[in-house]
Amino acid sequence: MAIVLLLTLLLSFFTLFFYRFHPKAVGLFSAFGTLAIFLFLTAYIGDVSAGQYLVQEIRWVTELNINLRFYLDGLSLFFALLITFFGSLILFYSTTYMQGKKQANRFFFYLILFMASMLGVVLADNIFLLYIFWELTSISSYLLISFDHEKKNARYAGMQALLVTNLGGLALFGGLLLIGHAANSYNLSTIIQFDHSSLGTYSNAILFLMLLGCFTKSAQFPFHFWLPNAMAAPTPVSAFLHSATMVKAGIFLIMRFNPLMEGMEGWSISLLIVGGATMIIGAVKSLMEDDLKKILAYITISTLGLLVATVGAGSELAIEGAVLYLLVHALYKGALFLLVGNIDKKMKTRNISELSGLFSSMPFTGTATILACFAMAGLPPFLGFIAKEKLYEALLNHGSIGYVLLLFVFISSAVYFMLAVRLSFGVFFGKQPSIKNTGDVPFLMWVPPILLTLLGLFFGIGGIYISPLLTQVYASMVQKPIVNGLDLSLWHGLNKAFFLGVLTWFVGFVFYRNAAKLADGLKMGAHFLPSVEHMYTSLLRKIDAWSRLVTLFFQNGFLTRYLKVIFVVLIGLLAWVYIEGDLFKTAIRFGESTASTEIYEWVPLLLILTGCAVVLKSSSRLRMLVSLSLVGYGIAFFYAIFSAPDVSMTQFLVETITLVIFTMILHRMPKNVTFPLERRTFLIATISCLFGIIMTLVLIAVQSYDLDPTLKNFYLENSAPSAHGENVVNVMLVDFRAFDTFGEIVVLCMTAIGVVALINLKPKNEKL
Amino acid sequence: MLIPVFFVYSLYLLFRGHDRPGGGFIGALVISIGLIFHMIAFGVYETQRIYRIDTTKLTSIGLLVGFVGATLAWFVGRDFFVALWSSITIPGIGTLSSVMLFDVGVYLTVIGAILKIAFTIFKE
Repeated sequence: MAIVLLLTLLLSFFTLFFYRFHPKAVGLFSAFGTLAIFLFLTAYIGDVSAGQYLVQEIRWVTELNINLRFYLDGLSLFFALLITFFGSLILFYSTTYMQGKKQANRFFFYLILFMASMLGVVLADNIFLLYIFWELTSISSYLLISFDHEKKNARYAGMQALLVTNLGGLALFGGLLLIGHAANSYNLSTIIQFDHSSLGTYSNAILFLMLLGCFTKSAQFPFHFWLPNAMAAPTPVSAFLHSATMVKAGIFLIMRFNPLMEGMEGWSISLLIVGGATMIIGAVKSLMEDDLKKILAYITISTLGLLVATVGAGSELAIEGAVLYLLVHALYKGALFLLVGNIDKKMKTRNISELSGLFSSMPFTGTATILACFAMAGLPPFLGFIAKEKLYEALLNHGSIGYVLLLFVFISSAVYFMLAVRLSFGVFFGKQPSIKNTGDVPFLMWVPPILLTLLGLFFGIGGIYISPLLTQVYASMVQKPIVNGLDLSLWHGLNKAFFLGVLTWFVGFVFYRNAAKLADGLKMGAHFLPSVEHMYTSLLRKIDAWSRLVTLFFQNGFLTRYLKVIFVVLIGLLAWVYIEGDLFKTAIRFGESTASTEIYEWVPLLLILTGCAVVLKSSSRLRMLVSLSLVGYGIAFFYAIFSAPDVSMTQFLVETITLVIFTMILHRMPKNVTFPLERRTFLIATISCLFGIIMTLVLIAVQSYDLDPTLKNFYLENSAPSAHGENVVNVMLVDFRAFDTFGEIVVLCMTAIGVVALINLKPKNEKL
Repeated sequence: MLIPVFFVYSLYLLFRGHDRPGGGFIGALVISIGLIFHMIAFGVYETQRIYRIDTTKLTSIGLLVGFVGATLAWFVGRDFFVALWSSITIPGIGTLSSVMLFDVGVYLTVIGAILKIAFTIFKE
């Protein structure tokens, strides 16, 4: 499994560097490569369907419980297959779609990188690994959404998605840590075998945090608003991320943790309420939109809500229905997004009211769309029909909550039916378009969608092919031995579920006939309801305004003001601590101990004092700068005297370099410095003296405490034998605490890049 | 003229670091100072030309070397960031190890970063 990830990552870098040489070939290669990975994964279907699961572990930092551990069971294999299969189709599509677009190599890079991170999320066993990949999906999604970075709405949408999903990601991390701590294991495969009682006192916190993570990622209410805006992304991105994979990550996690959290009080209720609300809101809002992509986005939101709520319902039939519906939705929604992309490319518009009669000019796209809409509408013999029936059946037997949920699902399904008709017949039949069309899209752009819809048809008729695997998915979600496999036959008899299904079509058709009136009525009603997105934007704006106020007060543009504030606060805090801790006696003790001082200790002291005196007296900035460096050198001497040669050398060198750099900058500034008014000088002097005094007192107090020598002794003892080095300081830097050092040099590089950016991107003017 | 002296001294400091005062960071600072002086005397373009310095490449390679030094142990089955020591001892340089590699990485990165900053400011 790790090899799968490695190969995908390598593929992403490969496309980044080699795309420009032969775009079409590299694109196709990446698509075939992904297909190969998919086929590799299919080899596991047999074993997993029989109930086995695989674990692979590669050591990383075992002491911290962070390892590259992967877990392949029904749920993860199902998702992995979905991701790779979809991925390869999307890559085929993108090869044609992205032809000629600039920076297309980055597009492929981000897309494959995303695929790798998504695979990581579903395959990861170790909690930390899961989190890292989760965040990677957020980042790559951000890069993909704002791919057309020249457009303002793309940048805005990307940032919004990033902020919302990252907020959830942070919450998720907290939740995962708590789970690991409570269950005393950081591996998912172990954790899901417990039940919620092992979570102890943390259960409510964990519930909240985990759900926050999942809901933000899967665009549940009230975090749903980023998804429609993410439609600013190029079509392949919308099809891949925002219908089939990334938004399903939250659902995946909910499914993965279902066995652990099942019995917990808040689990079902939260899922039902949030899912139900999302379902209806998504469906309703989709009726008010004209942009094809936005319509699809809202339906996706609605479906995600449906999935969440159904998992929340928790009965055997409900979970089976949820799993089925997940597959169904991925197939038809992915296809629809691609097809909308085709329409957009050819007709240059996505406004549904402007489109009609396209079939004659776009027969392939038309056929594919009609088939996809059949699936969306839940018509037999598509898999969608089976899924819908199963859901109805599950909810009919679920008691009073079931009936409420049933109503929601019913309305949503009716809306889906209505939009299915509108999208297929409304767009492709009817009066001829006024805009002339140059024919259908190239081969690679209609084959993937057709394939997806045909799969829906195929699985509908031949349900036995996927039943074993899907049964295992169900097994993963309940962690109990299975009695019977998933029943995927088309005909269940003329039961209540069937009649409900037919009724759905009827109601949906009624909706269709009255589409315009419905839309207008809903739009009017919407004015009275608060919109969550407005709340988000206004919250951001308020935070912005408030911080501007605070900043303006403290940072009025004068450096001295900032320094004054900093120092005054520092003095206050330190004085408070000093008085509270009654540390005055330490000063007395210190005075007694400074009996003997050598002559050579006075030299650097004199150096420092001279430096200070010159700074205060001189009027030339250069002189001030040099004398400040003199102070620095004096300090470095002190370090040497007190047996810290490394620190001393570093101080010397750094002082020299900063002196040189400052001198270069000074080159471009006026010769003499102007001083503030008399009154202000007094204030500055007072603050400085106070600061000096308090720092001295605090340092004396610190001196009098005996430091805990454990760490010091550890390093001293172990430096020579196990780290082969006599210089403890250096050994610490590059061996014991090498990770810190590595972080620091990375930061150093970032600083350098920042400096370059700041200086080179300034508009050219004389003032620095 | 003085540059070679700086260079040798900086390398000496780099390899000395483990047992006596020195180390990657300090070595890098020494050579940086030398090169900055050169830059002040002769200008940025001259310095960059004569010593064929590409600061971006320096920082990138430095980071890469440091990373490899840190993760070398992982490739042979041990944990991440564990040190590997060989038995090869070169007189004057010391015992080869992944830690030394890491230190060299630090060395290169710091030179690259500081020079990048210095060059940019001086060019402006």
